[in-house]
Amino acid sequence: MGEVLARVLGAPSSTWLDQAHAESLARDGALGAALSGTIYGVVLNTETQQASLGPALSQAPYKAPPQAPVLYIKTANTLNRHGGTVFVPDGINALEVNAALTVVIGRTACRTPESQALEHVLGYTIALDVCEPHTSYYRPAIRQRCRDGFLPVGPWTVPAGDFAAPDAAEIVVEVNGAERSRWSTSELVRSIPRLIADISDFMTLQEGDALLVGLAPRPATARVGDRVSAQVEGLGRLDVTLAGEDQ
Amino acid sequence: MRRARIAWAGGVHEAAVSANGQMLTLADGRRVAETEVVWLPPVKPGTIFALGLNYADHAAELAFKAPDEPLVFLKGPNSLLGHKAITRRPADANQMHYECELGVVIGKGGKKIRRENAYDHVAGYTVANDYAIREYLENYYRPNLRVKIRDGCTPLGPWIVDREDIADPMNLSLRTIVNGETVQQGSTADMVFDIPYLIAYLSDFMTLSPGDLILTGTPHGVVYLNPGDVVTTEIEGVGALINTLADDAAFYGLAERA
Repeated sequence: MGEVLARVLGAPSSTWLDQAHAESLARDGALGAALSGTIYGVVLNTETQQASLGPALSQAPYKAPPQAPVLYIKTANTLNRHGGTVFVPDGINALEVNAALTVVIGRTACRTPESQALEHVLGYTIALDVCEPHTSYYRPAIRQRCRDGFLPVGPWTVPAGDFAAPDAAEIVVEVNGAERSRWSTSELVRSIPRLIADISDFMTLQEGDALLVGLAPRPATARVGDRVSAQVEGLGRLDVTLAGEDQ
Repeated sequence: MRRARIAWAGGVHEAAVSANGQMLTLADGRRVAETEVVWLPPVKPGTIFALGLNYADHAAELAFKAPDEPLVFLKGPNSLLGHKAITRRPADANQMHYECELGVVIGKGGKKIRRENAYDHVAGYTVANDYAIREYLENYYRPNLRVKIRDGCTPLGPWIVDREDIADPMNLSLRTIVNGETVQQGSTADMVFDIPYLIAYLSDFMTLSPGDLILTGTPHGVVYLNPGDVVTTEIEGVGALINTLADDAAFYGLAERA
């Protein structure tokens, strides 16, 4: 068993820990959110998710299928930790809980060709991208995606060399122990190297920045009181609980 | 007071700027002429918010009706540049335009901030030039990152003016000057959603932190730019921010030609 990059709750930054030690800390709820840079995500990066919009992709307001990666930013206030609580806003019945394989950048990527992209990856972790359900992709969904605590990440970052197949990673979401979503990064329209190349063509990715490489074609939803877990074989399991805003 | 961040003599410094903008005083008392320094973005930003269609006249110009709720988008730190910097205009960007915007720097964080208390959370004001390249516009999460979050496409500065020094931030004239000619004029009085509204709106669903930045949108009057253009975005009482556009050959220089 190797080392993983984790942040002990309360510590200012992440450190490399023996995985068994990290697992013990995770069981005790003693790990914090291990990301600190700018966090980017990409939607409509599976054929299925694009197909779910059907002919609408070519109609107003979109008018044409997307050409560049459809990106968004998860702000610093959204970061949440393994074992944390996600608060459901008043008046919202259910939240989308969308597990994403997350690339953590280790070395500045700027105008990086696809063939060299993976050299810039430090490792991989799991993010649970929480949002209020919304059907339109026309305007940036800041109010829906950027509430406090809407991005649990973790439990730790696994170094790239220890994660064999990021292009065929099965991503599973369970709600109260029952599987609610399963998909694989083999379904991505743009692979991880392609994404890094296309994004770094106009936007420098710095060490510590992170990229959620795609969202489930059919995301799970969860409500107040639900226990949600996101799992990727080889990366561990990220658990959170949903609670009402007044709790 | 006007507060700048600069690079000079091998270090990064915070500096107070003289009334005429020509001298800077470092924390240790050293004084240096502004022509000697490299101007950095005046804030090390946390979350960067920007507003689209937040002036009624600009919304009309772009053939949209003003939105019912603020059209907010986000920027990454890669987009920021300081005063007197060079921004790349890609070869295929024939529809690149400036946007002169009042930047509001958050000084005291908070959640669910009330409109009547909003200014208590403001540290000061700065000037932004929120360049856009319309060729790259797509109708997904519009304005998309390829249009608005490009490396070095959001000059900011030259400095932050303390909140106390601006009597009424909702009544400042803005203008953009390209190669000496005034091409955009407006007033912050014409914002659709004013500063207290924006702070209340954002903090209603997310916690604001010191260093967060809100770029409040641009008025009517955008024209397309060419390589070599010198673009000054200026706001009354805040400052005049200068940026120069370079084509790919000039921007990448010898590295590209080699």
